[in-house]
Amino acid sequence: MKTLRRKKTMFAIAAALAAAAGALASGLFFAPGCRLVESTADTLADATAGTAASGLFRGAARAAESFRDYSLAEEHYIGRAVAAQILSQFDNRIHPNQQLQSYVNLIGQAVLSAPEAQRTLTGYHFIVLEGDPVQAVSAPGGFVFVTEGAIRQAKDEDEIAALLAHEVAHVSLKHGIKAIKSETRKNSLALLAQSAGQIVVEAGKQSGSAQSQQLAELTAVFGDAIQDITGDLLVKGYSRDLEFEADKIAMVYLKSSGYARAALASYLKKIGALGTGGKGGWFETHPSPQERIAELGDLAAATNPGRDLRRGRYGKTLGG
Amino acid sequence: MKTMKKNWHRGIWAALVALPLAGAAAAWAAEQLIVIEREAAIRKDKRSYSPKLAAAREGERVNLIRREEPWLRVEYKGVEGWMNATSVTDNPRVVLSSEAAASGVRATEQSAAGRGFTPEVEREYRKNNPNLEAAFKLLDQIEKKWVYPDETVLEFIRKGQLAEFAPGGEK
Repeated sequence: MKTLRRKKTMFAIAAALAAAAGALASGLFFAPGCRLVESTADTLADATAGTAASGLFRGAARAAESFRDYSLAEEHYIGRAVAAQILSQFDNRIHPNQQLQSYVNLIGQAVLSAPEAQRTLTGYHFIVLEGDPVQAVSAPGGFVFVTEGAIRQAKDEDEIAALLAHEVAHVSLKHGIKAIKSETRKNSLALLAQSAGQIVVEAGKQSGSAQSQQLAELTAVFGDAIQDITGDLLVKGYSRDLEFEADKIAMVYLKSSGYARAALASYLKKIGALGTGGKGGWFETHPSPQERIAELGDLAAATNPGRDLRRGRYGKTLGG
Repeated sequence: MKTMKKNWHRGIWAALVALPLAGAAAAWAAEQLIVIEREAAIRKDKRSYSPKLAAAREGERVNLIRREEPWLRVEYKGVEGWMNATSVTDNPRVVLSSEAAASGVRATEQSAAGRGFTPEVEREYRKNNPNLEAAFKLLDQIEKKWVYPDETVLEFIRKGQLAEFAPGGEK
């Protein structure tokens, strides 16, 4: 009798332990925060559970309900293709002055000393393009483009920093990625689920033609995503709200990195004074500088003790 | 009646044993974070260009000690230091790059390493868009050659009186 009781007790403990282990295995105890691809992961889990057929079906069905989030790795490849489109639009005219490229890159890297800025797979790259139109644009994954015209409009290093901080904010806030239309997201999610389901369940049984078909489908959806982003970036421009949000976050980066926050307002003021008549570039993709300065509020008036000192190296590089 | 009472007691004991164990398991699980940058620095201090103590590769795991957002105190291969919170995820099924999969670094069995939008997809996209080939080649060069070591950036920051070298806060 005593042995039986002991056995029952042991069984109860084992059952409780099994329950705890089950909860752990299901990820119940994973702490919140840092979830970059949660919705993808959940759908992927559904798709890979059970048989390949039911997994695929459920994956595709769930995809219709949830948005696709992209990891840093995927953002990187999306960003490269968007960056290639941007470069191509500028006839691949990367500015030949290496000293200028290095200087602008170092300013960008200094802005990134702000720990609030989102990291990317391989870091940020700041690329100066030849051309007079005042233009700055960023692709997901940290590819930031500025024209020589935009750089020349800056009266000092801090204004260049402000311009770059605004673009870094677009990358950090994933504005490019958010431009991917929901339909494209759904399609890419369904394909990811399909890919994972086949790899996990069929473990190498997939034929070469099925793999090529899958790659072709994924590439088509990838192309759609690139088109969605470049459509927003280079044709329509981001919404006013996204531009204001990028300005607000740029101010955080400027403060953290030690650059003058007032530089964003002073740069915008200068751009505003250029007027919009036939200038193209910046004016086609952003709300008016006057509106943006008004949104920045009192923070724009702060003074920075190191700003004058940095004007020296700005003049040396840009010959001002 | 007596048997029921004893069974109830046994249930309490089982719960008392299981709960701390579940708590310990939860603590263990919460400590595990997966690196999602190609190479994430573990730094001496909570500063972006503070001396690098170690570098964890994409897909590797670090142990979380505590959070001080946007920084995390972590342990990696016996080295303790600070890491940017956006360099890691706690999602075990995060989509990693093909490079992470090829190097044998794989966070979990569920991790979708090498799937989704990968270099293979980019290669196909490039085949379909030959007009972008020159641009992609320029990007390859930029990614490979335009690299700025921490020391160079830190010197630029120091000379420009930026970040921790700023003479005083904004007024």
